[in-house]
Amino acid sequence: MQNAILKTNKLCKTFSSGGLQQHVLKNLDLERYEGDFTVIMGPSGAGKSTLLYALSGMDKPTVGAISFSGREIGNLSNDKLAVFRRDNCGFVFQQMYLLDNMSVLDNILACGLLVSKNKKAVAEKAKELLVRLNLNETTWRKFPAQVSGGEAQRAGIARALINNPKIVFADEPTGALNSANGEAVLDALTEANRQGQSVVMVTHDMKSARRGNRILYLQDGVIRGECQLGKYASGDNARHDKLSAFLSEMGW
Amino acid sequence: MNKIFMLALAPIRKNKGQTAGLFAFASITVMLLSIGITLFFGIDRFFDERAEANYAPHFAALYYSGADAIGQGQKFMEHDARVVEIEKTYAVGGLGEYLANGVKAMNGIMVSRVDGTQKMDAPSFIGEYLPLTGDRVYIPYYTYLDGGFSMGDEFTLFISGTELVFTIAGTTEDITFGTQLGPFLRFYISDERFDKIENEFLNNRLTVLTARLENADDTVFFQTDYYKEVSTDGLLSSFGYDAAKMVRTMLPAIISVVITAFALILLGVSLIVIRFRIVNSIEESMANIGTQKAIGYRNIQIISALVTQYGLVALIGGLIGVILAGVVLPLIAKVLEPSLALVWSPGFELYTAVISILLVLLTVTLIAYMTSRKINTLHPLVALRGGMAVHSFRKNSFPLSKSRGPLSLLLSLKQIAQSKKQTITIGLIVAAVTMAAVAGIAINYSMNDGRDAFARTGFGELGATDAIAGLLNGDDGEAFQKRIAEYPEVRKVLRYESTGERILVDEINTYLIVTEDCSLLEGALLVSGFYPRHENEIALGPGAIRATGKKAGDKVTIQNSGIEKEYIITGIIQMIENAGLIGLMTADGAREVMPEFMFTIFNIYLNEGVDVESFIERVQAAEGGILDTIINTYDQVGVVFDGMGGMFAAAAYGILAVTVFVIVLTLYMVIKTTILRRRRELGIQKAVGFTTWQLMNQIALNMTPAILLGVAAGAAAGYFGFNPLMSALTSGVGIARLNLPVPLDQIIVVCAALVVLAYAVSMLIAWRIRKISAYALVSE
Repeated sequence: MQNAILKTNKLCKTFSSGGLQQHVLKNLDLERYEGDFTVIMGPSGAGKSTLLYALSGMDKPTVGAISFSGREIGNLSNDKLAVFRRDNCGFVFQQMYLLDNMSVLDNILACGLLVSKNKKAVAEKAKELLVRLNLNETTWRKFPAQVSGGEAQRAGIARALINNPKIVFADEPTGALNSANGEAVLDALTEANRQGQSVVMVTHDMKSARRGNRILYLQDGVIRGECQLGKYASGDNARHDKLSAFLSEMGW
Repeated sequence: MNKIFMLALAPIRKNKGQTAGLFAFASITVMLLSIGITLFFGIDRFFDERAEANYAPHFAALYYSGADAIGQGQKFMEHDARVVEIEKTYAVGGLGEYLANGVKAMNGIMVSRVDGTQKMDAPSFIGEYLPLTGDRVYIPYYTYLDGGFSMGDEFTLFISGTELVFTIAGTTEDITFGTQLGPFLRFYISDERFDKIENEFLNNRLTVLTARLENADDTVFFQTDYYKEVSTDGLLSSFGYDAAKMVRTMLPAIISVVITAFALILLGVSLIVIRFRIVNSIEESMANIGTQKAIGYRNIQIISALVTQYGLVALIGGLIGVILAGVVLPLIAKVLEPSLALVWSPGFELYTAVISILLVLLTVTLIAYMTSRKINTLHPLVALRGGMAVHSFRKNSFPLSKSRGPLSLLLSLKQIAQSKKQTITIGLIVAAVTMAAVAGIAINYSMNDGRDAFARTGFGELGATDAIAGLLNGDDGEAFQKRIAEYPEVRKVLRYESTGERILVDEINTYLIVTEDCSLLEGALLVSGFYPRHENEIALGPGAIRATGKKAGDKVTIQNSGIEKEYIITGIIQMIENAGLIGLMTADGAREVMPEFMFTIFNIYLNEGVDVESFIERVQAAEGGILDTIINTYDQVGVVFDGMGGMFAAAAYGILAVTVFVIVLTLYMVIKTTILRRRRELGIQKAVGFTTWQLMNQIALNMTPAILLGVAAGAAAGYFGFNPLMSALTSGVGIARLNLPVPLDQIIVVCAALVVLAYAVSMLIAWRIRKISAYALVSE
């Protein structure tokens, strides 16, 4: 039996602006399991990113509960949520969000040293990740503005993985990349998932979505449907067809 | 024009906190400038106005009644073309004391009747007064403040050791004889009491010759000529209007210079902060500038809007500053009253307000224009894309894989290495205000707890002795000195006369100090060269050196009562007396030009720990018959310092308060700007797990090196620069070189407190980071 890593109960998120209230997530109940590669899809404005950031403890729900490995996180203070994120989560953003005043390697170390005081071990782990992600030593020493988008995003993945998080949240990680770089990033996430890390990814891209084993379709703040694809294997056409059918059914 | 105002007002409305900070800078700068300028020029003018209102004399000479010189003096005055009016009045007095707060204060004392015919400096009252009958007395306002008296209080005078008790019935302005900082204090008593005292103290009858000159600027030359022609036999004291004015306006003038200098430091700080703000404001609103350029605004319009924005802040802040000055100035005037010995109620001064506001406005708009000129070179498309890369990082300072230390510290060090200009800016600001604060602390210490060193420098030997005894007759001197020296508690008795003897040195009217053996002096009289040892030697004060144009080793001609001799200048001495127009000789030297010279004053130095008061009581009991006076010099110096100490304490605390305010305001503006500029970076750090506390510490640590270096540099500059600065400020009153102790312990405590405060304030201001959520970052 699989262990639930994320569970929500009647999760709601409402934004207020100028006296107007916008209900973005409406009474969501969902359960994700360790080792899942969950993909959240849906039209623009469906609440995908809002759900991702609520699940990751980057934002708090308006109403409802979120538990992570059985621990309620919805009511934690901002600082406790920060500690929760550093200990359990890794993040990959569409815009990379590397700190532009430090080198690629330091970006990863700054995150790793938050959790571990063993500088040597963290540095070795960071270098190992960077090598695994095909980033050479010259790139490590460069500043984010001096590397390509693909290199920056792979550095972002290394940063997300440096603390061995239980779960990696990725928000449109290939959205700003060309096809080749996007593929490399997806390979990296798939590999991380293969090695036991859960992944939750928001995407608009069907090619990216194929990497997941559970596809959630979100619309108007509610989950319209879920599709289970099984573990990813490249060249699996049946998987593609199943996902296409599901998305057609959802009106994609 | 409307468009420019529209562009200028928008950022003022948007950044209310930052604008308020700049308002505060402009307000305080204009307030201090306004106060400094008003004090510097206003007090001088006010004193002249009061002197005119009281028809104060430009020259006054006090003689023992019956002295031949009175006739000579009167004749000289009557025939001198510069004199427009002379007056002769009568008094009783001499070297005496009065009781203030239970302490005997020694000074020249004279009591007079209110003579309806007295025109020059006739009693004019401060506040209510009662008719002079019975034992009533009018006392100078200085004495009134010094003793903390009220109307109806008992007031005790001592003339030739005899106690005279009165009841206070009013306080007078008395321009000529109204402060203990001058040679004589004048008290008015009733006719019946005066007649009685006049008969009782036959040897203390005085005649006061006063003269008004056509032109007050001639006073110094008139005095010189007077001493050439008129004998000093029987002369008790004399002085001119300049000296009377200087002793009362000297300290307010020093304080006004200190305040103005501090205001100029603040103006410099404001300009640095404004420059910092404009540079950041251009970076922050790069896209807006691009849009403005794209839709057709010309460079000059965009620059004008920025200049108008900061000009408006300076103008409105300046107006507030002028109003604040109007509120604060009367409080400062109150603090200065003991020195001025007059009630000064400064009001709104248009010229001061205009000068202060214009100075701030012009410098602010100039710096705003110079800083915003870079907009000229900014292409609209580049601006629209967010501008050129603000930072071009070339070196990865403090690489995390190699550097040692906690993560927060290393990240701070990285930030500091990448923002050197900001660090230097903050360091300069902190150094400037810390230097001012340290100087303030040192001034306060020198005038209060550490007054001994200043007393030794400023008051010559008076600051080094324990007691001073004055004899009625100089003939008793030798035997008196022998008897006193035999007291077991006495360490030394030195004949030392500094009670108003005057000579001409190269025709310059000079105040003479005479002592039996200069090598026995313990004060800080000597600045350079040697003390005189032979009868043809003299040491001169800085004023006399300047006036004669001579130096140590040169010869000067000394004249007195028709005798003329040449002397060699052995060295330079200093003392707050007669604007540095002072000279020091041995007794043998003095007798060369004053054959009748005889010591009547004796400085008494006691062993460590001896109770001065009980010693004085014993001497009084044993020597009462021949004693004119004997006083505790520490208390005497204390009487002078108590009045001044409060002024300098107020100035020091004021400077310290403004220093704290400036540091807090600078940190507020810099940190707020930093947070705005680094919003994205802070959001990323929060997203990956940095807590608010860690980020606050990081920001506070960013500021710490600048604060530490600034405080250290400012403290060092204040510590080493204090004495040269004070020497420059007091050079006009007779001080050539000060060597006052600077309280290192107090400075260390204040500097440490400033650093801790700066860190705490940085943390507090950085607390606003809690408002930046990681989600806001990614959803923007």
